[in-house]
Amino acid sequence: MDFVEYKCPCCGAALKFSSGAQKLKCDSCGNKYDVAALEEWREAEQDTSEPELHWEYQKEAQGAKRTADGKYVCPSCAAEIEVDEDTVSTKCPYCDNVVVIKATASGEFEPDFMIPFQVEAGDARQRLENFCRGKRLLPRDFKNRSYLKNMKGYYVPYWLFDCDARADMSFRATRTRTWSDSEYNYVDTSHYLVHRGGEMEFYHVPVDGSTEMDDKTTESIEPFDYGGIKDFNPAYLAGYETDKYDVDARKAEVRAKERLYNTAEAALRNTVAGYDGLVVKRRQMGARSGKISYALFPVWLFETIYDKKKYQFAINGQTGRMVGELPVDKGAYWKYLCGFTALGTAVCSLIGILLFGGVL
Amino acid sequence: MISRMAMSLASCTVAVLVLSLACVTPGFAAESPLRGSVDGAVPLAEAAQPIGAEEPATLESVGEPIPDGTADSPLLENTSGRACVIDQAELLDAEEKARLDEACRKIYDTYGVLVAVVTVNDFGGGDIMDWQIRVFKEDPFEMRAQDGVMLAVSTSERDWGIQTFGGAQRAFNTYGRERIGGIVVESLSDEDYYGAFDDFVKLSERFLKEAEKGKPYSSEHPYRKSVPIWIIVAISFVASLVVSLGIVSSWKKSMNTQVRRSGAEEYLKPGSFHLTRSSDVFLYHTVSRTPKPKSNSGSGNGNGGSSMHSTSSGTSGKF
Repeated sequence: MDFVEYKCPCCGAALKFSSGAQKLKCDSCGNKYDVAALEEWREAEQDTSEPELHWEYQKEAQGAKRTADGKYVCPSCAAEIEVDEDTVSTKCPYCDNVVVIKATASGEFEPDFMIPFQVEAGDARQRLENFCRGKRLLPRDFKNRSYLKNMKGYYVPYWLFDCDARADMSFRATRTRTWSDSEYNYVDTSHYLVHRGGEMEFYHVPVDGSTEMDDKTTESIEPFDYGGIKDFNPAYLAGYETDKYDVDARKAEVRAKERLYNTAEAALRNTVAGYDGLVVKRRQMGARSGKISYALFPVWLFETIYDKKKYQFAINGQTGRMVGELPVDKGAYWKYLCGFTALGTAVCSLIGILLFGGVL
Repeated sequence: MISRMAMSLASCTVAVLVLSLACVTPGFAAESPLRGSVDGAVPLAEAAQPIGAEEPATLESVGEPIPDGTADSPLLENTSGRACVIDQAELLDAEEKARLDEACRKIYDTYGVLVAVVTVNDFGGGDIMDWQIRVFKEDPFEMRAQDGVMLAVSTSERDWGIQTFGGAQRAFNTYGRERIGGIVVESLSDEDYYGAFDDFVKLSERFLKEAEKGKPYSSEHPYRKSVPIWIIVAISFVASLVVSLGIVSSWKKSMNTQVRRSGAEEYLKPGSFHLTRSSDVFLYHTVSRTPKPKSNSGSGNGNGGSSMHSTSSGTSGKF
């Protein structure tokens, strides 16, 4: 027979059962505990593992259908085109015809879904110009750089994670009451163990499947409107560049889990009220009906190197949301900082001397 | 656009500056300088009367019947001829005395009002303001002034008084005397006598100057202690730097719109979240106590604190 030792949640000392109070009592700090409460506490203490979320990925079962030599014949001019192994669609260098590389755009790498471009190239260019407009710290010579001409429409590979998630969380919560007498200030802190469990459904949580794209950029242009999502059709690729994923679904899962955990924690936290302090003690999450889909989403992309640093700008090709980081002209930064400070000091000193210096 | 930014910068910075200076300027936010320390005999509201409404303090009209100082030995002996500063208690060195005297003479030459400083070891008891009236009548200053204001300090009982004479009461009304007294008594309590007398002389000139403009200081037109220019410039610089940093940093922040998402709230199906378990279990409670900080109220500065009371022409107290 195994013996279980119960320890005091307050001070960690061993507890003894008090037959009079029908409770477990701590001789060290004097607290008494209901047996049921102690059981819950012990359960939360012991079960600290975070079981993995599991998704099923249909594509992995399918065999690869790739050509060996990586050369293709343009259907328009019959020229031989060399492409790297990640290319799904490209332009023929001889006749400028958009060629969809069918071998790689099918089978293992054939997407389940895609969202076609809805923002035109001219509109995208205008949005970038608007983004740069009015930026006083933007270097003057940056505005006229060739990056505006290097804009490209790009289908970014994404993994989409679906699941019915179950989350279970324990929190240590405290509620405080303060009062005073003539000599002391008192703080009475009540400690609680709070459990919350919930179920929720996630639909198409996207994770960037390309190492070419900065994850910060791809997440910044979210969300996409899934009302416009369509089954994959290579015809939509014409005129745009497309790469296959080079981050596989298993690697992308890590980021998906992180986002799901954070959302579940926030949802469960919102159901806990009336406490002054709340600390997560344990969190578990499991998933049913987990499914991973592969999709291509439209992004207008601009890249340039300025002052030895790469700058990437992206526009959501469906919603038009623009994100990016512009270079900062350090000279302009200091010029404005010093100028404003000098101007402010002069004006305020003048007003201050008139008001407080005894002049008026 | 830049001018609009500059305007907003200026207004923000000015607001910060005014708040900062209001905090460092005594009597700016609340101009009653003697909160809780003035005897109820003459309330501050008296100073709200129209200028000149106060009874002018002539030698005959103020206080108790004035004994003729010339009948007995003189109240103050002045062996140095014409002087605005008579330091019988020897609280000043010769140089300090000369500096104060020169400043007082300049004021007399400019405004025709005698600003006098008198120190004694013991003025003989009674009301120091009555004693001041008798001293003024004796005129040990040899100035033959009709209008004047006098600060007298008696070291044995730590008495001080500010008494006005003739037309000087217009500049040094009850508000003015209490305001000056409130500033001077701080230095007297610290036994910084030269500092106290120097403040008195400078403040007297300031009050006379304002009265000459036709708007003597009163509760409606309060005196504000001037802040040193270097403090104004320093606060202006710090306030401007903080506001400028805020503006330029916000510009810099707007250069980067990339934000990594922490969650996936947008992909949570609407209405799909529901609680399956909810329990709140009380475990234990702890009580902690901390001693309250002891306050040292009522002990003052070892001199028993300062006090003040006013009549229609004079203000006096202990330091």
